[in-house]
Amino acid sequence: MKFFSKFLKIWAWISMILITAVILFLFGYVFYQGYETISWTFLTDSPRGAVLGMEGGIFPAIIGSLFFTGTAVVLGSIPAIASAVWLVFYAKNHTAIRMMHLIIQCISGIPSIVLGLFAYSFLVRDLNLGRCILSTGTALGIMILPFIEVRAEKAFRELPEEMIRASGALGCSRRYTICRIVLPACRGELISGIILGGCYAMGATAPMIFTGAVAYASVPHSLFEPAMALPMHLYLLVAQGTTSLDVAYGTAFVMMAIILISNLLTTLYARSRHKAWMNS
Amino acid sequence: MDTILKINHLTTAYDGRAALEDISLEIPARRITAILGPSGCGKSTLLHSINGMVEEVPNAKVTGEIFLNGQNIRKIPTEELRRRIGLVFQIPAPFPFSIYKNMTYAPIYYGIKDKKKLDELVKEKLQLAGLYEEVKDDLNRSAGKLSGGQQQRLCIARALTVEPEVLLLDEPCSALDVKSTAAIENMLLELKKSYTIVLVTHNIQQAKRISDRAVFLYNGRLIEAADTGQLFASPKAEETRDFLSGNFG
Repeated sequence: MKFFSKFLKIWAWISMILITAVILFLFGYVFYQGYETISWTFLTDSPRGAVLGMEGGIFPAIIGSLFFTGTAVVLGSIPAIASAVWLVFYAKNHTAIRMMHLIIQCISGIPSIVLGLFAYSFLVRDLNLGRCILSTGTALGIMILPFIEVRAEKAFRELPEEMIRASGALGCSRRYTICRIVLPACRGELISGIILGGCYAMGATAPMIFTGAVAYASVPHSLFEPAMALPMHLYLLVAQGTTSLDVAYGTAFVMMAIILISNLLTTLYARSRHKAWMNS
Repeated sequence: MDTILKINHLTTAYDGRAALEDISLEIPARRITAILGPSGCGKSTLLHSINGMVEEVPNAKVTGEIFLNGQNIRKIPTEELRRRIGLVFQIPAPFPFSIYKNMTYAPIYYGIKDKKKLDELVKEKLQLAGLYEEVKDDLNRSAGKLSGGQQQRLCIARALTVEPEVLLLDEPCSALDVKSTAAIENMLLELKKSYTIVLVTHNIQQAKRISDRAVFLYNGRLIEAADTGQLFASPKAEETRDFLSGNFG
């Protein structure tokens, strides 16, 4: 028994070190391979060159990715948070709750390429939206909806029940309780869920291939035009062969930096807001 | 003695199992009525039936009538009923923001926007709860940072901000130490000058110390209700005698 618990402990340690090492190596490797490519021109210029992307930069792809992600976050998080509120505070019928959970699980199980296919045939073709940011954003929004919903629902359920009941015992309506206590108390979790969902959407390539991401476009001005995106650009650079590999690493560098920084900022923001709100 | 609450043949059942059976009871105005009984005898269910919280429980069924100042509570909209009959829970449940915001939470909901009026209300109710002197220098402190006893007094003060006619307390001291309990008991004795208090407790001594009327519940039935002095001096029913002498509970 003693041996077994020692073994478990060592196993846990080795796993932890291994995971940390792999992640550090992954980030380190990409940054090491990519950092030489990074320059002001690379960040602010459009791609150029006989093999596209070999010269110039990735500016339209950065902005395009932000557009895709922003659209996905707005379209995904609103229904996600609304359904979490409904499930936790309004739904009384157990069958309905189970159905809703089943549906959300099913959505999270859909392969992203199938979501892309759906958005292509329904939005691009049938609704005649064409290949545009909105079509892709919808596919990505559906993709991240369960991701955000699960986190929001968990945060709501973890609030002390007495707090919610105390508000009800004062005669305050459920709407007031949700707006004044639930949402502010869970703001940190909600924001971090949304941003994590956004990072997930930013990296997803499959749903954007047929629906809105293109090999070359200028900086988008509306949701109804196609745009470049970082993961798509990365995919094309790698597909072009070894010549453009350095630029591909540079692109990966930028993408990971954006994700890392937004994660970090969100965590800090959520923490400070939560603290300020608790003390205000 | 005026009667503020009149309960007629109240039966509350969860999933078809009666937690309270045929309770008839009168609660006098501006007095402390203690509800005594062992765990699971239906004390909390009685409070939750009075202010309508029981409606939130799925599969709960309430029959019988409860009158608040002569008005059947079924005819009163739920929100108004809960405003008029406040309820404070066993575990202190301050909202996760400042003391001041805790106190203005419900008044703002009921439409008081004037800052001066709110300030006065906060001060008055905190004074009533005997908490004002302890917290007046820093009303913006997070309510979570108060001690357990202070949190419970804050919750009582918060329940008073909506001017309830009756204040129901569900074992408010069971999670507190002796000193905090004494502070709350003194506060309740002050409060009964202007409010009607119904106090659920399984602390027999507490009921003896502060209540005017005492009600003994056992297995969902009302065994005995009398003035506190009388109930303690000469309990009529055998169960009451056993309970008060500590034979079970």
